Amino acid sequence: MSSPARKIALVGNPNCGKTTLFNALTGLRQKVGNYPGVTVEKKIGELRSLHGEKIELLDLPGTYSLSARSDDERVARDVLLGDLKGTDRPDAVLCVVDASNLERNLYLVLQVIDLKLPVIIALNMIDVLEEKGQRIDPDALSQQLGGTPVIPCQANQEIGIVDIKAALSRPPHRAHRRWNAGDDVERILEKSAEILISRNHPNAAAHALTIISDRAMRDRNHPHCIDHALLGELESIIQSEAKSSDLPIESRIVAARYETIGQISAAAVRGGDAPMELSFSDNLDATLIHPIKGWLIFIAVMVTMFYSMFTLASVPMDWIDGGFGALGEFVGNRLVDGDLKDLIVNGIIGGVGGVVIFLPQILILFFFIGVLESSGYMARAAFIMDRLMSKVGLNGKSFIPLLSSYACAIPGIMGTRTIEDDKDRLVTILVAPLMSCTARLPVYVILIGVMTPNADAVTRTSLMFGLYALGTLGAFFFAWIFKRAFSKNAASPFLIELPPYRMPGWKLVFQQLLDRGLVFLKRAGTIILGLSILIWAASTYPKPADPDTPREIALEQSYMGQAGKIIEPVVKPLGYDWKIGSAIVWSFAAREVFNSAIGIIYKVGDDAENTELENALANAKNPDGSPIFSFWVCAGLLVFYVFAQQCIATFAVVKRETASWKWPIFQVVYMTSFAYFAAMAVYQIGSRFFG
Amino acid sequence: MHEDLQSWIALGVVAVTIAAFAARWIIRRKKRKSGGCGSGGCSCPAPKPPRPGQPD
Repeated sequence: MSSPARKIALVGNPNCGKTTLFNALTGLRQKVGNYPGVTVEKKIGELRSLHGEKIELLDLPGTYSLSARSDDERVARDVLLGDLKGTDRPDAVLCVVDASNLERNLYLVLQVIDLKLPVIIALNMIDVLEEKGQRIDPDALSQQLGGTPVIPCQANQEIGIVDIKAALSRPPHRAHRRWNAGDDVERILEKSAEILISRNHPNAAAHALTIISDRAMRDRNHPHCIDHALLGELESIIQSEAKSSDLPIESRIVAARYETIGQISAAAVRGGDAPMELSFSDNLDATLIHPIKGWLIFIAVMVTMFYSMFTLASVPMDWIDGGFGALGEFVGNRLVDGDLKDLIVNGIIGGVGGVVIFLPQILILFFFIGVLESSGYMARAAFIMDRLMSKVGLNGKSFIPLLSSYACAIPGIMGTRTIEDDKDRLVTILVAPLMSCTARLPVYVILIGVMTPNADAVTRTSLMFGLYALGTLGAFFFAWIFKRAFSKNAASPFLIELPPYRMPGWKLVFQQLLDRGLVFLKRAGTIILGLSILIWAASTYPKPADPDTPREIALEQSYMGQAGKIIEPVVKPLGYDWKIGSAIVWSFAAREVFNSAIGIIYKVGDDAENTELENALANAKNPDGSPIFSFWVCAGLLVFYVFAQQCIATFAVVKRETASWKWPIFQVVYMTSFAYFAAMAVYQIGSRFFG
Repeated sequence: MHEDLQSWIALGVVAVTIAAFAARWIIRRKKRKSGGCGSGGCSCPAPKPPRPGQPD
């Protein structure tokens, strides 16, 4: 019978290369799940030691300390203490340390050593440190840390991986605590441990230190306070033993740790005696995060991105349109008239083509996002936005999830897990879908085109930018309201790393572009394809008894027509007929299906030979001869799509992340209601007063 | 192809599409109940957004 696998936990600060090292050690032998009761990802990988022994590597969430302000940090701490149900306490811990930020990273290392776990240190990014003219003596560092093994590595180049595996293969080394905050603190820790032992608490010393050094665990009003009876006992020990001091005991422990870190760093770091000069990044930041210049540059970058989407994408879009048109003609010439031909040409090719044509624009959008992220500019954008976010009471940490929501609200909503305050997290989740996601892009482009048929790229760019700005302002507006309604807390402080600027990693950017493109095409080939078939079926059946019935009347008699007529009174105040209403209802399954639906509906009729959707919509007329897609109808539709919650997948994720039905339902109701009334206001006021 | 045959094939395609959506919903519901990471219809590649700056 084989012995159970050794369990090693992987910890480290965010951005220290922890996940890169995890991937290098485990390759594809990984599985992802969730910790019970919290929305924190659980990632386990497998590797073999140099002796062939199986090792299970648990990638814990990146955290700066084990002070447990957020779910991520709490999970990391609870796993290391052995308190998390369903997860065994690890046998050892592999701490990934960013060598270029040694002192900040050592705080977490000292906390892990405090928990009496064997530790191995992977000293990562040594190349970055060497570029600064410094180096760390791993033997000196190891000695300062009580003999803890220190393995220099460069995880992204897979340098040092074998040495790390060798260290994991050796018997683990457990170092003693490295700091001392005073004799009185030592007595408090000892007596607290004795109390926990008397209560049969496992790992009593580690738990005692954790409780004494974490103020939240000893605050009766805090949701994570320990049992009050135990708290009473510990408080009396602290009161009787603690020397009088300006600092509370937890602050004295923090100070003692940092004093030790200073000593360790002085002993282990070599070089770096030259006077500090402002780096290239520092000089650039003087402009890019300037309160005024920074904003202007940010807006200029966004406008450039949108302008490129309209100008650079037009040629490949024409190719795609031509390709689908040719495909439709090819199939049409080979089949006699009938339902199958209609399904393939108008339903499938027309429906899917109406969405796939926007692939070039989506790729351009993601190209810019990839370059901005990879170059280090996105962190500066988050910093600039923090000033604005704090005015509506939101943490700057909310910007990262909201920024991600420009691509898709789902990873944005899941990214709110790093927000410590539960109410701030809820507010961010509720407003995230207001950031215009890529699914809205095909709808925006087609309606802007119909609305401004003779406009140049500059005008269309401005309109597109205006829509994105409108969604963003809407998010801030509702965040301001919800913050006042749900949370009276002030915004918590915002801590973010500003990494040095560097040339974008083109390989990574293009890899991400390829991934996003494939995801988009996969969605078009599955969900959009399926919905296009269903939309075609709903607009075709039931068929009229008389086969010579004009197609317009046949459409009205179809299931879609019948349902559309029922909802027509609801959408009439917005200037829509039942066809537009039906397309809106279908797009609640996926926003971009609006294009497919409206394409299928409006290609039916005398203009069936006209393959350009934009022209078909622009030429669509009411019985009185007025255009159906007038300027103000399009404007109202655009406003509707900016604000409405029309994504079943987002609904499902919000339900999971908030563990309730209440909040996703509330989100759909508030967003769609606001979208309805805003669109109505735009149409009614615009068409009455501005013609 | 005969018009009636076309109609039957088209109806068959629609029926298969409805069955595919139903099967997808059932499978995702089972996955969510078993505690897996499935998000139900997500087409986005990564569960967590990339942090600005250096890759993790």
